[in-house]
Amino acid sequence: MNDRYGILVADDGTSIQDKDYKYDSREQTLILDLERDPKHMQIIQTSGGTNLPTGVVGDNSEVIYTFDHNLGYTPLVDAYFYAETYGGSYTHMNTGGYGKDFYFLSGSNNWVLDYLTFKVNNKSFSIIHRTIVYATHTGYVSTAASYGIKTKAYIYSIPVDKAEYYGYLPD
Amino acid sequence: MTRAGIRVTQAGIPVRGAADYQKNMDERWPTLNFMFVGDIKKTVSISDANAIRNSNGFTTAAAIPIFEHNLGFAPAFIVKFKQDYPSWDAPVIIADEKYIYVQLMSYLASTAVVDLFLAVSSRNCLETYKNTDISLPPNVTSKPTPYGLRVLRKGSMRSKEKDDYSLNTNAKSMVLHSHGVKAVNAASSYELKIIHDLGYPPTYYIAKVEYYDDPSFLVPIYYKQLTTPLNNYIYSVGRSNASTLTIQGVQATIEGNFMYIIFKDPVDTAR
Repeated sequence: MNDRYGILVADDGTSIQDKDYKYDSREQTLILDLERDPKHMQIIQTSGGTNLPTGVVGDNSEVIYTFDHNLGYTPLVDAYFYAETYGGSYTHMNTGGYGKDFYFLSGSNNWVLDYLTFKVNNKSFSIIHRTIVYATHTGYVSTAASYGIKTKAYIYSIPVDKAEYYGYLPD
Repeated sequence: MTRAGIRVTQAGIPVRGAADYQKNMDERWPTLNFMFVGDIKKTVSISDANAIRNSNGFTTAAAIPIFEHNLGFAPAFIVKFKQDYPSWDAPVIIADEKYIYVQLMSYLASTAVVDLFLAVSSRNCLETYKNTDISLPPNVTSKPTPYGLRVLRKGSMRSKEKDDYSLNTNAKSMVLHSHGVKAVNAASSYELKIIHDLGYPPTYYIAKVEYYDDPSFLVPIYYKQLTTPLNNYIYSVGRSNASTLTIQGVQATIEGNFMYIIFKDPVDTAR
């Protein structure tokens, strides 16, 4: 990086000499590639997954959707899970919420965690549905299949030197 | 607000009438810039600590600098640990106006290997900022072209790697709508409520802002405003209408001071 050249825009009410910039081309930003196919910014519409077993202590997961990002490294990713519909309704109380990197589905409690997250490695980006049952119990059935989810994925062209990571990893 | 200035849209989007989030650069609003993006790997010892707390001879908590940023304010920052830690056992990373620290508990270990990806923003997101100049979205999607504007940050103009550019019309840059700090408590109904008036549910980051005033902590880091990593397992859900984003805890309430960063980008469309 050459510190002497670039495009600088001073913050409102400040001079360029004050070095408070709202735009500074010498620094890195959150940037992603619009030329990629599959797209590195896209909306993926899926259900919340299937109603994974929740009656027995243990861990179940499923890949709901996956695509190759073709970057050749593990990228920095933001993913937002937006609950658009529930049982086909756009107005149900379980709709309209969204979470960054993970989303707890309705009904998760002290015994069962039922959630959506993402997994990314140097090859692909995947949406994961996972249930973790911590103690034997009755009464909870995963509600995943009732959800209509919009996942907005941002695959930034920024390498994270790690083989693979999840948006959320409870244990 | 002047009508003159620099406006650069994503490829395929006419400048006139473009939505805010389809602009890679507009001199009216900022981007979230980073003064450092890279990897930190070092072995740290409790003897390197800038601040140590002894609590009844039982627990020693030490804040050990792992990166010196010297920004003069506690920054917004992103951390990705190279090792997979359970959410309840991840090392605690905090920042003050000079350093990024790892907290080490002596009852666990007196040394540790810190190995993580770190991105430190150079913008003071603790200060209140809000851009009120909003353009509503057109029904046009970006179409990459062989032509356009590129501002190189490193490498060569032939590079296909978008990270080599600070501006590229065949790329998308996240631009800021607002940031600041808000208290979440009983008076706020344990909700983080931000009025944005963007017309759509926006993407956002949040981070806990700490203030340790326990006198058993030694200077220098305590008695200061400290930031924690962005989106560091804050169990929450956002809900937004056209004007207001409300963030609530899930399974338990959230409480304390939170730094928020809202981008000019809708969570439910991609253009």
